[in-house]
Amino acid sequence: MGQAGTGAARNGTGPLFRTLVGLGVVCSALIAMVYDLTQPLIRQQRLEVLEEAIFSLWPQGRAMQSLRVDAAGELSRVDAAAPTDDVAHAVYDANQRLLGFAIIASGMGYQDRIALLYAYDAREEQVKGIRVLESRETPGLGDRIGYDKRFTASFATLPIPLDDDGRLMNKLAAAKPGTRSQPWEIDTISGATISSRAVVDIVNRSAARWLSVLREESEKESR
Amino acid sequence: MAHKPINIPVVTAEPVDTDVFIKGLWRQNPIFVQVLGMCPTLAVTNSAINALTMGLATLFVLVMSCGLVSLLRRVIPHHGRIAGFVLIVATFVTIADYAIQAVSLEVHKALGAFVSLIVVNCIILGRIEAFAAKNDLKPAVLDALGMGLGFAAALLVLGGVRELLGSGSIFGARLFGESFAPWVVMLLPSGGFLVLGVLVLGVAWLKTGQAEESK
Repeated sequence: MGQAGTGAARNGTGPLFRTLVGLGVVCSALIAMVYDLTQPLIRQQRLEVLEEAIFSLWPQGRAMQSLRVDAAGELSRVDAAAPTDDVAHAVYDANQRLLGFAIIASGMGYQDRIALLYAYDAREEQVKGIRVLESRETPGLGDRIGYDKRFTASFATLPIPLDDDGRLMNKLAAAKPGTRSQPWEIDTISGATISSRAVVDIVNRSAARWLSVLREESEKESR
Repeated sequence: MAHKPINIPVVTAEPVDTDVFIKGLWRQNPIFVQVLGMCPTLAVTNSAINALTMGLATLFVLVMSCGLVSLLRRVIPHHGRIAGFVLIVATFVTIADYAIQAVSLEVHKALGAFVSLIVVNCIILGRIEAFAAKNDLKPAVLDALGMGLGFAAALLVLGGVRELLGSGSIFGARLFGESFAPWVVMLLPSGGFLVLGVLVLGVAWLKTGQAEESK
């Protein structure tokens, strides 16, 4: 067995300074090396998760193009995006025909930020489905926004028409479980009211920002 | 023929090394006996895969940090040792964090901040200060391996029981039919306390039985 203590004889600040700086340099180099090695894999993982979610919303989709909108409402194409970025994706079928869009939206839930993806069909003016990308809602309660069949089915063919100025005609509204009476109402999940209301708010905010520019883009493509 | 001087050790190193390794697995298990590292223990054991990933990440950080501290124990000045230890531990935690992201983003998201919080896991700093900083490389690594495996195994048992009762599945594979009503409470923090309490009680009962038998 070795000696007791860690270099107990050295007590000045000089050795301490040199040791910590030396350790810091070695540790930083090690971290930088591992970062370089793992970043391509992490980027690939993110892209795979995103593609899987997008193509599960648009089963006929074969290709996609990421889009970003600036403050003036102008669309621009971007290369690739992290799943949590504020971007939308135009989804194309095997014949390069535009099927619709998958929009990433995020906002505060009950525990933490919720990031989700919803499909928007500009021709039919409908939301075509929703997927939760990231959530830390309470397991067994709030996290049901991701898998509660009745809740996710409310977004499967949800009319979300715009008026001529590109504004939402009816904002989506959260209704108590089983009391839904209007097409734009969503039944909240019993025991997950705050999380389901948060999802409705997130989609409303994102729709106000995205739908009119995406409708224009869709009209341009179909001309 | 001259006799050997009496101060030369005649016991071989193996039994000591085996004991150093084994004590973390059972006799001094970090969770069930020492009741250390309760924050990640209760927070991430709501499924078997989360528990296993956290256990393996902690095992990696513990073994690497204890090994490096043992090698550098004569270089790091005594009065600055904690800063040095934390720097070493934080480096390996960052590496584990990148590795988990590269393997599965889903698991990384489920573990949340608890991977980064391995830096302040008291088992790691405890083993470094109490053992690795005072011993050679081999016993330091064996001690870390034993403690790390003991920690990982305990997390896996907790995660397995909680997932089985709370979701009716193990590693995501459903074991019961549609009629099974999950005990949601098992996935919540209170379920963690309940299962941990029962397991700590069970281990204490077994150990008492063993001690009485050996008398």
